Amino acid sequence: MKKVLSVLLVLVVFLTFTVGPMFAAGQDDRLHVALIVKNLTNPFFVYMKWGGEAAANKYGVRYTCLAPEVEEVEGQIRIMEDLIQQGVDAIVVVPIDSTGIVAGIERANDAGVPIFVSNTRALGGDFVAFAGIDHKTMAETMGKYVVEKLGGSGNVIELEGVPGAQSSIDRGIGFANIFSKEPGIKVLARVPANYNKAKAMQVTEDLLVRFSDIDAIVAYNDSMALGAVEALRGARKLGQIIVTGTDANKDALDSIRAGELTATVDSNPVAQAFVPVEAAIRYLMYNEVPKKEIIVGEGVPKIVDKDNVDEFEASVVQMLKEYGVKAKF
Amino acid sequence: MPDRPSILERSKKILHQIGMNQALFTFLLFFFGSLLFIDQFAISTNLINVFRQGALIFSFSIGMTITMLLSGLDLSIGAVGSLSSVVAATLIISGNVFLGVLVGLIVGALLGLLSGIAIARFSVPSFIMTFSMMKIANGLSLEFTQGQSIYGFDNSFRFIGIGYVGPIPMPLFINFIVLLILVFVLKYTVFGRSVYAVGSNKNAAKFSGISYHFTIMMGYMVSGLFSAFAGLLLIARLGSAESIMGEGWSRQAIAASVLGGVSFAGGKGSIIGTAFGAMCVAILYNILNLLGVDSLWQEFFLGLIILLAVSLDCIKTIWMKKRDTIRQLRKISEEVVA
Repeated sequence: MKKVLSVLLVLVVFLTFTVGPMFAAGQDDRLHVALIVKNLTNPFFVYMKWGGEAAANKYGVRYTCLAPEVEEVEGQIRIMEDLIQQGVDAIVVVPIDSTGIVAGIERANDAGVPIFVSNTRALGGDFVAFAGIDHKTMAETMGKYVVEKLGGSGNVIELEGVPGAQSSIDRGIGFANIFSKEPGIKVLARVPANYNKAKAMQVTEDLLVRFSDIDAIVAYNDSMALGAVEALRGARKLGQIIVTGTDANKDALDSIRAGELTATVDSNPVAQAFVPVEAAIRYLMYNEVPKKEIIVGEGVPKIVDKDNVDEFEASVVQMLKEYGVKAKF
Repeated sequence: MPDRPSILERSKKILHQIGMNQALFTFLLFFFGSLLFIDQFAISTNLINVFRQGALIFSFSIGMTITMLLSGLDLSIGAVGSLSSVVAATLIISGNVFLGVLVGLIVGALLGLLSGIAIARFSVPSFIMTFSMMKIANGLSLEFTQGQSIYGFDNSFRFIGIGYVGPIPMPLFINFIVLLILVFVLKYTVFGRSVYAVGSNKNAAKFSGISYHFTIMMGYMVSGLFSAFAGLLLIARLGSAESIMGEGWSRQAIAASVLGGVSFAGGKGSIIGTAFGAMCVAILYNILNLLGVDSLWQEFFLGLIILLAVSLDCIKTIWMKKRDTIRQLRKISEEVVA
């Protein structure tokens, strides 16, 4: 048995070194641009992956999209080091942690590899440009919408993301910026549900028992918003309470169309990857130095609710087609 | 005149026999404590929420308990549950509810069996094997879903997650039946008895003619099967399947099992204990939310309470040993005096 296993082990290791590289892009001398996202489990980052791919295809450069196996900034730094080692020409990164990523950016600076940042800000290091719509702006846009929907007064519950996650912190700041200025808005509770639908459902059920006068539930992502929707369905309160999400995922759009979820906010993940990857390529190819802040799309996140959901979805499909992204939406 | 044991003593003995002494105590402590100190706890909607939540926690703790009884553990329950449910979900939305459920359960059982084979035949440590299985299953379900959620189940399927039998929520009802079956299986079948035998003394079990490898393989297969079962209940409740929805299951399952009196050393504990343990975990999360305790502190309290419950059990064991020794010493000294 032992012998069989050791032979097997040797074989697997051997195959990893011989056959493995065949799966890689192989030797190619084209420019190589890499996009590092936070994870590839959230559809948001899958869209970013496609957006970057579209830009790379447009210019015919080599493109890699990577994410750490566990969502930790150390993993992103390790990926950056590996890419630098491989001789990558430029890196676009979506930092998991705004301060933590600085070490990685500095590593790239030392190696002379240009860095672009998207979606989540980096608080240091020398990067060429930030191109993306940050989470604070998204939350502020949604916050204004909620205030408007409530007519300026009401009780709000916030479902936060993973405690300590940069996106959750930034979105929290965005909502606080808006809600704290409105004397009529009272935030009853701010509870983490870890971006997780099941957790959000359970937390919302408990909060519905604790507070009888909730007017709006603001979730920091769509999964949690849909979890809240399910909790309201169980409590037969669906339609009585405003529920909003963030990210404009497909399932959220369907829920809006069904009249369950009130609204979500889109920050165009495809463009948030396409724009910085394109900027990086043009920087390398034509020495075009972009502005420090590149405006993505219309520059502002877009609210999607019942009035524009069909139109919005059509525009996304159209955009994916324009960018040449084959994936279905 | 022989002493007739009092009712109290007899019921104590019965409770001890079905192995739920400590678990029942912890549960009652939690339940009545919450009733007394938290106004909103006793509201019927809240009680229904708590019991349904507890039933779901129980459903994914089954696998952990059985593997812990075998003196192993199963870290892959969440990943296996997620993978089998995303596979099942794809079939369910295409209209084959029955086929979807069946295939989901089979996928779960097969993955469990694979872990079981590696652990039994090749002596791979259960921690390593199930940890690898967790990674493998996670990777597969991510690839399978591409990070998207699968949704659009029809109401006949969702009923098992959100429906009611009279006033009882379906997940609670189903899990109660499962609990009864498992109590019977673990207590009266050859497999059940072998689980305890293998868990408490591997070598003795080997020599006594119990099929050691078979029991371990079956144990992990059952664990995979119930992980898939838990996944199906959860997707029926949530209305969608996501590739990472089983994240955090193993932590909660360990908490439920340990609070229920299942020992990591194997062979000690019971499935009823785990059911009470799961209820304790559900009550804990619920009251912390009702009290408005910051969720960062929720983890802190969960850790603290598990530690206290287990220490209590350890102290009790030490104390009982001491008491026995003192009794024996007294007996000897009395004999000497006589």
